[in-house]
Amino acid sequence: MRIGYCVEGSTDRAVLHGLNQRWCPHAQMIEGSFRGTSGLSQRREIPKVCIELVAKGVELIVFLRDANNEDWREVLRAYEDDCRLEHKYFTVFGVCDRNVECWLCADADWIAKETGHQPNEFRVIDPKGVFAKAMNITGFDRKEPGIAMLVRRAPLKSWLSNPSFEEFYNRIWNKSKETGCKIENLRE
Amino acid sequence: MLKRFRVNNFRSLLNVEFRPVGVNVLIGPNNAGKTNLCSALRFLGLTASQSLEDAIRASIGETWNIRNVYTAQENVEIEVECSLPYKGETIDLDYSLSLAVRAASSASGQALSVSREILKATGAGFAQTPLLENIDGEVRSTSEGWSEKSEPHPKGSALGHWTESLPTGTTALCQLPPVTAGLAGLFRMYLLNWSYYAFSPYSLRSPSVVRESPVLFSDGKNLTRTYFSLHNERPRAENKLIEIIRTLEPRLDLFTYASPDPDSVFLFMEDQKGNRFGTQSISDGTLRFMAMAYLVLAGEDSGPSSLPGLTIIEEPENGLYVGHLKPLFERLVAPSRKDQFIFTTHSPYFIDLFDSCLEGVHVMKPGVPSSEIKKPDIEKTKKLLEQMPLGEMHFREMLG
Repeated sequence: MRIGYCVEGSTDRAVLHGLNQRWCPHAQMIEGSFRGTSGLSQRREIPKVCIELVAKGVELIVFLRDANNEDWREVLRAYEDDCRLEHKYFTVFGVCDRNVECWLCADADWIAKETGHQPNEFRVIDPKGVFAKAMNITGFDRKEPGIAMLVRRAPLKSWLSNPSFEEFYNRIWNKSKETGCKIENLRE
Repeated sequence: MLKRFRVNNFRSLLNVEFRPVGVNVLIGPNNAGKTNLCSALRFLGLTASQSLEDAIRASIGETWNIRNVYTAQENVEIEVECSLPYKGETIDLDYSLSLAVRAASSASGQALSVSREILKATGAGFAQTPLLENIDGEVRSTSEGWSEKSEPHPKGSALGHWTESLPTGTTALCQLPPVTAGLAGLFRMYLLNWSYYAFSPYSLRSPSVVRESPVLFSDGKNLTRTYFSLHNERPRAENKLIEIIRTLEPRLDLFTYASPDPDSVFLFMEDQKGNRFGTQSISDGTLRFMAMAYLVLAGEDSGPSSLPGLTIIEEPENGLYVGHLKPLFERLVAPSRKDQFIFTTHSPYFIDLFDSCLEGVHVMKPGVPSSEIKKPDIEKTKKLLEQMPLGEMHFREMLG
């Protein structure tokens, strides 16, 4: 199986790769090329990314981005509106409330233990900077394999406390039922 | 017209076959082998007039790493199939060249020598007839191509009319007498018509030496010399050139020149008010445009009876405003020209110009031990063109 994906940043990519290794290790991940980051370009780019990835033979396309300072539900709605009807049935959109680091730090005790820091350091509104510092992320080394490894053993049930992750998980879960894949049931 | 070019064991190219059409573009990421393919073509073109060592130095700039580093093969092999006009007919010529590569005795890298060189003709009464055979310097040739001493022979006859031992540091084709009739001479003339350009602003700005050839060098180093030659010898052609350049710089009135000593010559652009701008004041893009305009003019001025040429231009879009790209390109590759073109590019805008000529798109992919060359699926690409332009497809790696 080939899964196409499109992300805005390296941490988002690492999270998707981690989830892929955890839930669907045999699937080949193919990244779609995204040109530009503005809202205007997003409207233009989403259909193009879908066309590109369909031409490359993917069966599912996952889009993941951060809401940053916007309401993640609004961003998600706008994201879906930009997707053409013919691509919607095999596309899953995910928008992180603020950023993907909020998912990674949803269980502050766990991430603190993993990184050797204090849990309180991760109990902040925007843990992006703290996470980057804890993982020693630099401009030259985005630590993608390390983050993907973290996601493979992350307590995803705790992540469900973040509504944006819960929404993303629900969509992936429903899509897995449609495509006949088995993924971990986090509600058991 | 070049129909097939196969190169084996030349830098990153192992058994790579390139089948060009009239106008071609080589696309692919950095280090994919586009320039190596162009260098192999350039090298072959230069072997018709220079020693192998000079040709390799001119084409790749060094004598190290001529061979592919990932294979133990000793020889570099090049094969060419082309069809050329000959006495009112079209004749197919097959040329294969096998070069032994060995470490040079001095510290100058690797040295090349001809181990096998064969030229065959098909058509116009010939059927895979060998015209020239060079095995380790032992050259045999028919009268069609080589010797004026030998007796005339019926077309299609075997080799053996003329033999001689020749140095192996140069191809036998290169050692043909300068004015040689016959097919080998024709093929040699064809190779001499191959040209390669990779313009650099630094070279384009350099003051030219008057003694230099008025034929534009591959890096554009003698641009001023070529313009100066037009100014002195072909004022009508110079006017045409100025017309082309005015599409980019409407204020251009004329070119003037200063020659402070008998050796060097400096070029100036002059506007209608008499202000003069030297090459240091002319932008990189304008200089590149001027060099391209010269190529346009050279092509338009080539005579109807001349042999078709092969022009290779690396990244012609560099420094050029996208609005100037299409008119310049269309004029350069005008259907009235018999020449073949090979471009390399990274620009989506330039690739878009091949929307209606998908046969000419060749995608190069990097790899170990060898780069690969692929052609996009034309039907699939045509369908996708309804959704996005070709350059976009390249950006999204949907070609090849």
